[in-house]
Amino acid sequence: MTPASARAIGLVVLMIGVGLRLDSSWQTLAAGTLGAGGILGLWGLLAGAFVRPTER
Amino acid sequence: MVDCRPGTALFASAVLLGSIALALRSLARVEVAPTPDGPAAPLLGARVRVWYRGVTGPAIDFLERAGVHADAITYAQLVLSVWSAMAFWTGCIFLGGVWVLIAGTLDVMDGDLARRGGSAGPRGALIDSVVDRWAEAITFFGVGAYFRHEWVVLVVILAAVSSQMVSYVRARAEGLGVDLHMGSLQRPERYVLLGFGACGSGLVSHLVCAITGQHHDAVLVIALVLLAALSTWTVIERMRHAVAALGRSGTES
Repeated sequence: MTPASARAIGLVVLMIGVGLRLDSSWQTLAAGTLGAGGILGLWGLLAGAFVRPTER
Repeated sequence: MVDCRPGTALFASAVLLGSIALALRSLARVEVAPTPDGPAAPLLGARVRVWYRGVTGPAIDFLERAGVHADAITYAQLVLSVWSAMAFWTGCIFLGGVWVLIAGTLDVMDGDLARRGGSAGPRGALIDSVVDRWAEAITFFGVGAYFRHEWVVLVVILAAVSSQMVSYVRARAEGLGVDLHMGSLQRPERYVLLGFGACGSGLVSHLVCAITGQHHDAVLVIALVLLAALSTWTVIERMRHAVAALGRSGTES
């Protein structure tokens, strides 16, 4: 998985987590989804920051 | 109605704004050939479309390698539209918006996957078109069900009918030999307007709720009014274009 893909998937998972947190009563699932999305997105951001533009 | 969660809404707003900033930065690097678009061009220009195809490219590569058929993506879009309708109906506005945006992405991806996998053809095009109409109608049904006791339901009905008409006019005109790719509010624009309108509404509602103690759907209502008005305008635009083209062809024959 490339950093760009991780960022995109992380953002989608994070937004589903935010939706669950805001709108539903499934707060445990929301926390898990938020955590998974946050870790994936953060990894994508950090990994992308250390890749030379020509290799992205 | 669930509690107010301004902290989560603030965090999500910051993440979304940061993502939009990153997207704008990469959007500026996209190069597209200049086209004589004019005022009838879609609201999302060629640059945005090319950029989004680049974003979804790796996912399409993965699906192609995994041997997933384009029809499966088309049906997944329908399932997500049912989910979004259920989310809207039950008052989960932000979640409904997220499902709409993901369904819209699948709508873009199924065609690209079919073209890349060599399975593009009249059969797939027919299935895609019919499923798209169903998906859109189901989503609006959910939004309408949420606003069933308010005047907004009339706006939703107008938006739903006009959205179907936008596609119908094009299909009918193309059946009569007129190519109709123009129109201000085409399907991707409708997905973006409804999806981001719902997500924005969910966030604003939770932020405002911390002050007023009540949830509000003002942003979603504004998005729906815009959707209804611009869809109706697009139908008129396409009708005028098609009638003019048919008039010319009638005179020529």
